[in-house]
Amino acid sequence: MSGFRMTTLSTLSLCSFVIMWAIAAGSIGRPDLVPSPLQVVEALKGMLSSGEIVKATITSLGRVVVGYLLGGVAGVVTGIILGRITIIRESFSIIFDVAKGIPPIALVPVVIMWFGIGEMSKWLVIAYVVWVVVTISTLVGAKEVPLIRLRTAEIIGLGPLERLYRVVLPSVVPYALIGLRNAVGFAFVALVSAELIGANSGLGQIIMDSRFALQTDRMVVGIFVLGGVGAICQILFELMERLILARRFQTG
Amino acid sequence: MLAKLWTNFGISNVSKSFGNYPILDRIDLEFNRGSFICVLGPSGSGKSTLLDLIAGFERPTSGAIRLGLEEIRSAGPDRVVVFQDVSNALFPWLTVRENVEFGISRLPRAERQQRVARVLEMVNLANHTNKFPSELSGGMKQRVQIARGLAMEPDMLLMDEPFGALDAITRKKLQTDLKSLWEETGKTIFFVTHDIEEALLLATEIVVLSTGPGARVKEWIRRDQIPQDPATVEYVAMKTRLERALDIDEDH
Repeated sequence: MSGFRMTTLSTLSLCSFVIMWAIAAGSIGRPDLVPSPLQVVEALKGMLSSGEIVKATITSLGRVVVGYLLGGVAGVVTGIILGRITIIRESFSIIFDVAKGIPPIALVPVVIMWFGIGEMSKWLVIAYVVWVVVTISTLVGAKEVPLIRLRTAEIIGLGPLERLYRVVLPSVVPYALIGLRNAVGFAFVALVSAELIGANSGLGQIIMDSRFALQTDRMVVGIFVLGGVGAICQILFELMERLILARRFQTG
Repeated sequence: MLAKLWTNFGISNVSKSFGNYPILDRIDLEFNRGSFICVLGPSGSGKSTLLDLIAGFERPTSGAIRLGLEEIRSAGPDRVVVFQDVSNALFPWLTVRENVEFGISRLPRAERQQRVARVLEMVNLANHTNKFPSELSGGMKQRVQIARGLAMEPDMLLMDEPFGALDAITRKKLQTDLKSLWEETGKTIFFVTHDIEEALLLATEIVVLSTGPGARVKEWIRRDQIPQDPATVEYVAMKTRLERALDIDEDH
């Protein structure tokens, strides 16, 4: 699809969404339940000028970044260990199968009990989700490093460390990248889980507090900003992938 | 590693089984250094297993393979392998030059560059040094593999159906080029194929294995018995003899 067509279609679909929303809000006539687009824009203006939305966004984004980095690094490491060492993979696969079925929100109470409602809890919830996603895709790549590449390393006489960073790691990169790309979205899902319950700041707290105060317009602002920031992060990730890695590591 | 001084290459009474399943049964062959050995055999006859044994990826269940007096016990840079799997054999994250340098990274820079230039010239890829494998055709990828092997200055090239996945015209071209390369370098080449004409074109020694399990040497045709001119009765007779050697097994 051409860029022009893409832009046109996106604009059209966004506009029609806003129009339908305005019509729905008008006919329902309950701004406390369904605020109109204009009310939401007004709320956004207020929140921008007070600076609270910027502050909340930065707080939330910081949590995502820290949790994502922690989980991403851990995921690549566990993925390679599980992928390359059969006995470890076979022993831990049952534990990992259980772990990957746990939704992040289910962990929040436990994490709060252990680490309180500080930043650590939020980082860990986000890191957990990222870790699961990245581990799964890295594991596949590590398990399926082509035998003939390892044999080439054998002919040359590479030691285990050199084999790891000259053959295994680069072979795994395209797979790890798929996991890391998907994990961006999951990190935001986990962020909201963490902030909705243990909230004292951030976008999740704005959404939650607005509910108690029946300020639905503020709530909608929080939701849209969250979605927007998540989308921007995804796009930035894909751009980075294309610019830095495309020629050497094709992810297809 | 220094090139070992050996003049003959012996496969003495070699058998190989995987578990209770016999692959090769008492293979007994001996060749001079500099021979171009083609091994023919039906699928599943253990041709590739024999190559793996010579490469040192696997050990014989009984018997021994020797270069001169020294027994092969592991893989080494004196015996490089050119694999059939065109898409996985090269490192896709490295350029043509970097792929060829992969096995000689411990050499001083000047010598490394000199060797890379020389072998890329030999395989007619001097104009493609900065391309990535994804930008090359299948035939060019196999040339890079051959260059990577030659750069290590091995005693022996082990080729496992290297042209099997290529189209007919590319295959023909690579066959002639390989033949001149062999004449130029005098390397010992151990070449697995199921193509009789390929074997007749290239080989100074042709070995036909019987159908497995427990494949044995069915025919061993020496240097002076291989007719060079396809337009002769001797050539046709030899071709028929080889066809028969390959076919008869399939009847029972």
